[in-house]
Amino acid sequence: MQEPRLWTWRRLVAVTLARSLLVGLLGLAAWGALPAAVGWHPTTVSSGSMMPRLHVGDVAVSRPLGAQVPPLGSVLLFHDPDHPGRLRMHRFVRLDDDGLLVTRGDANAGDDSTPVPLGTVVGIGTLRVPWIALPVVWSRAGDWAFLGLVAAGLGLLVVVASSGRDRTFADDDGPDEPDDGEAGRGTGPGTGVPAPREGDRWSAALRRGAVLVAAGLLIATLADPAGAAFTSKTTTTASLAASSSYTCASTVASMSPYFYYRMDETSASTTAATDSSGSSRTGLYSQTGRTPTTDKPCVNDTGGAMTYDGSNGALASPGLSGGMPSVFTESIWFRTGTQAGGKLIGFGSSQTGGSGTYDRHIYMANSGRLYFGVYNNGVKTVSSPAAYNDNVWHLAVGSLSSAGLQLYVDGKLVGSDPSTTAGEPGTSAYMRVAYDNLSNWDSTPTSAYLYGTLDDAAFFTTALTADQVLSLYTAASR
Amino acid sequence: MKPPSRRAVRRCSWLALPAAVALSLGAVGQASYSAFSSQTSNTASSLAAGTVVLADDDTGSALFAATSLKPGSSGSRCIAVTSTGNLPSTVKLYATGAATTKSLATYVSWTVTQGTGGSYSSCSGFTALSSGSSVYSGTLSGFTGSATAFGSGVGTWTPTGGASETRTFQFAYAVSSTAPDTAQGGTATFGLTWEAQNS
Repeated sequence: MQEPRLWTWRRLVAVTLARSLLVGLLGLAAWGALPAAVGWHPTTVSSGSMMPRLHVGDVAVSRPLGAQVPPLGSVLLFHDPDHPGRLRMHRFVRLDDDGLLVTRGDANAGDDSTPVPLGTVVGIGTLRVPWIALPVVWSRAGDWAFLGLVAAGLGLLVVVASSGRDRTFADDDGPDEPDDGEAGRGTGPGTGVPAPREGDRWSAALRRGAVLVAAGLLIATLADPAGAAFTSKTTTTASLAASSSYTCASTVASMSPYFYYRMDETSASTTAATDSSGSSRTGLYSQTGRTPTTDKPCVNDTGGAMTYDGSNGALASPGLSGGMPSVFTESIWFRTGTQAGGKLIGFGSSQTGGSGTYDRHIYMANSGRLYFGVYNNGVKTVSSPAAYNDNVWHLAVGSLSSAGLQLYVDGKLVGSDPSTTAGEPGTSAYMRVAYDNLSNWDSTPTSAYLYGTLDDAAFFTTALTADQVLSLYTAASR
Repeated sequence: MKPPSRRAVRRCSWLALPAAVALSLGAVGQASYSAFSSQTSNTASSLAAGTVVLADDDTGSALFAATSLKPGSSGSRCIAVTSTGNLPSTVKLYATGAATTKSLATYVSWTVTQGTGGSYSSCSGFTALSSGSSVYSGTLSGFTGSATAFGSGVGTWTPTGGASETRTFQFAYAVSSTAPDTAQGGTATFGLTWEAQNS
């Protein structure tokens, strides 16, 4: 047997440090794992969303809430609402209107998007054991290099801690106690020579094995991850609003027309013109000079329009009770390429033929410009600057009220005369479309009959607002 | 110096236990105090080792602000969403704060397509993914009713976190040509949220 080596102070310090570290690590693991025995919940922090309070690899131990309501600002462990089967550990920041808990990772810019009910809370964060579960995180991430380093470090500690068993002492003062564990192992009583007994070896091996198994169990207990909820959001908004009226018909109907001739008749010979005002004030078509067409200005509407030939075609309403209106709006869609002008819509004292009293009318001059006027101690008209005999659908609207004469084309005001607020009085009044007398009016057109296609002639006993007129026009398009 | 005596060695071996207990107690106590006693969070995103970051290119404008819709009306727009985080993540799209009047959302078809190219200002250059480009196809009410949180959100985008990734989403609506008059004047408003969570 070779000469036994002696203990040195340096070795003693190293061994003691190594043993302290090892036992300390085991103690940390125990802190992380043992609370599970009393129903607390240890979890491994697996993401940094609670930095710097909780780090990846920490073990966070939560105690059950019981009947307690968690205080604001506390860190809660709860079932992840976004990932079934996962746990999340975030701070409780506020209650929302529905009584749900709004949570947030300290390192996140915003609150978690899905609030959680109190029932999903597993516990309230109480103990933090730093770094101890890093090996768990590494093994999950496959960072074998780190794992290897740690294993090597642990191995080195074990080697250092267990070295010195074969060392002997410089002196053997004092009475010997029996061997006690890993600590004072190594010598027989009264001798300076290491003489471990057979039984000691076995029990030491058992002890070491038990420690290893315990350590393994502790580590395994820590494998339950929590966290994993770094989040970031970006948002935008959208609003869709349907028109209050899908069709020209529903738009006109919403403004309570007195007469409303949609000219959807498909017969060129039947003279009855259906009134869609709801009051069945059936109009009268001319017997000749008109042709139904499927062409129409309102793409959302059913039916078609009526083409007038410029020599015989016309439409008239029944007599208006109360005679000539003092406040009114009249409206009509037209499409023409004529160079000879003609009446679009207006009022006359007769239902057919040329009227003796005729005003409150919109007509087209040879130039294609529109005129709207009344007779009030003379001819009073307003006119559009532009021409509209371009074979495209347009909407002409004229109104008379205390605000004066107003002429709109395609929803826009194109002419007005605030000083003219009344027309020629008369007890006999018919609304005339496509034809009536036009003698002696401004820019009198060559033809009183209009050659063109007309649709949706409407008469209102109120002066429509500019917005209402605009909606009459926008109702036509999609 | 005299080498350590048997008693010194034995005492040192017992010293390891209290030292270890003190070490672990101190570490756990201090760490627990700093982690859980603070009742407020601090803004520490810069300290985080890993992040997920998501942004879009709408500069705060609305995706759609359509008015006077009629049966048959339709529209579409693109939004480019960029992920610049350094953690692998999953991105989900969902609706928030959805509200509709007169059941308009029921009569609006809604499709979400993912691809590359194009931007908020113009969809030109947008190319749908060759496979799996359809993120959602159905009615608007179906979308806003079902996709309401990250867990129920739609989408298959999973940025790797290795480098900045941009994906363009094309949204299209169309009011049904058979939308009834009862939906006149109806509205549908909602927010759209893309949320990334690290996976």
